Amino acid sequence: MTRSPPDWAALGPWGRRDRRPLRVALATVAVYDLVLLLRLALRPSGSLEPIPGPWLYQALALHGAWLGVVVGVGAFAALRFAQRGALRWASVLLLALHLCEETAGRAFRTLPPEPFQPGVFLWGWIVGSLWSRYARGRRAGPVYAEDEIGADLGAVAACGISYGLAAFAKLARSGADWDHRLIWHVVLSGQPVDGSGPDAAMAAWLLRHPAVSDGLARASIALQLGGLLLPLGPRLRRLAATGLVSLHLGMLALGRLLDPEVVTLLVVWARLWPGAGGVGALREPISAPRAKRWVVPVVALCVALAAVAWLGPVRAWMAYAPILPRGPFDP
Amino acid sequence: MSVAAVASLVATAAVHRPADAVGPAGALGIALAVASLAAAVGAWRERTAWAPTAAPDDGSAGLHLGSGRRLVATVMVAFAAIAFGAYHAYPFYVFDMYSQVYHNANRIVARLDDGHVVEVERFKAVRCDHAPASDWLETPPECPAAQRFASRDRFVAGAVVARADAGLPGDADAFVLVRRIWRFEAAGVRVVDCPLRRCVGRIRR
Repeated sequence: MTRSPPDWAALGPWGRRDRRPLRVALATVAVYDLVLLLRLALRPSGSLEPIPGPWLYQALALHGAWLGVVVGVGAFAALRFAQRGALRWASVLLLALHLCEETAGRAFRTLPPEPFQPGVFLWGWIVGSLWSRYARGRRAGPVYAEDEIGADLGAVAACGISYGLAAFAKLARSGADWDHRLIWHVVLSGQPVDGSGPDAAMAAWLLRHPAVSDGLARASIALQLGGLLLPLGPRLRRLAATGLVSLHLGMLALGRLLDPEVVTLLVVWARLWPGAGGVGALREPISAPRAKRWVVPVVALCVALAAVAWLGPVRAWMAYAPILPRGPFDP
Repeated sequence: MSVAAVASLVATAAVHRPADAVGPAGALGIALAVASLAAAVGAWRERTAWAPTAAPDDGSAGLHLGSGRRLVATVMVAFAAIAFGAYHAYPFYVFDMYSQVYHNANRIVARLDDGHVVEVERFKAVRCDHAPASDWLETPPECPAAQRFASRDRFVAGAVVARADAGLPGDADAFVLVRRIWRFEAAGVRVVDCPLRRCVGRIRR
């Protein structure tokens, strides 16, 4: 049997199959979040004013019709992205998600974390796709299905580091003190106070057995650290994704914390379903005339973004003062 | 690997229908263990016909494996660097929610005159002694400090606003909006109710 030469398709379970299902899944959860955020921004929350902030978010929060336009543009971009995978539509969709998240968060006076994952995947998709195109010496023109092998990889790498950061934050901020009390906090804050049945029984049982809650808390950190394995190969991707899906389903069971977006994306990206059929191979031949090790323009873009984040007024501009701390790990 | 996914879903469903023998949290532990084991077995058994065993040295076909790994490193390092610089600027975020040590849990609920507590969503209509304002979610200074679950508080606030009915008669069910605080103390969990507003409402029976 002749084996294909190794390439970076080997870094994921989709191999040389068409990545269209990934695009469709990402576009779908992005539209779900656009609608969710629009509803959140328009929902009566008992607050008098949105959190003060940049004029654009303020204006969108005060004039819901404009936010509706943003959602419409974002939904159209999602459709085009699902159909063709063009980078410009991915970028428009990411911008629409950014505007909706930042506006809804200020209107609702809290930062909704759930809609971040579609944006994380989209950002990784864009970087990965750019990397692939530059690496193959084809900067402009249509996106070829083969280029999306890199997009797939970039997206799952971004997802992986997001979980790694979540685990790091817990270890850095609380260390060994991050224990059963987190589980108790999630359970008691999430379960209905007048509930009965299995959920209420489970809450009472966990309160009587802190050692079990300790184990669950530490297991959740281990599973989040496992997210760093997502981009390192098909087996590791499936292993890590299964652990993370279990984590999210556990959060749903314990604290009614629902994250359908990231669960959907993890299931699709890791192909966690019976059988491998139903998805065709790439229609075009794999071709790569050059095998560059680093793609300097994309690295430079990332360095520039990081420089702006550190040296520019981004943190002050985006702050939710006094609702949220102004920086990571601040009290 | 598909076994892992199915096992995970089935085992999580077991949490909602816990077997009497193991209890709900036991079922959750079993769910995690089974899912992890199934994932490990599935990963071991997986076969990909095209999977390479060594990196190419001639770049004859496909993008170079090493370049893919550098892409992964670039995406990860860049995301972390931007997130720590900006703290949060969608889609960049350090994801530090739930990272603090919790000394309590709390939520806003309705305490009826007979002492029972119910969720605010149980009411069809509500009238409180002061119009809800941005400060009414704050814990009064005489109450113990509470680490709030901000989004849950906002949803309760939204429910009160959405159910506001100034025309409710005086014989409606009287209740007090309280912040119920479960304090995690060395001796166990202690419950404290902190009054926020006096209200009347029509409760769904």
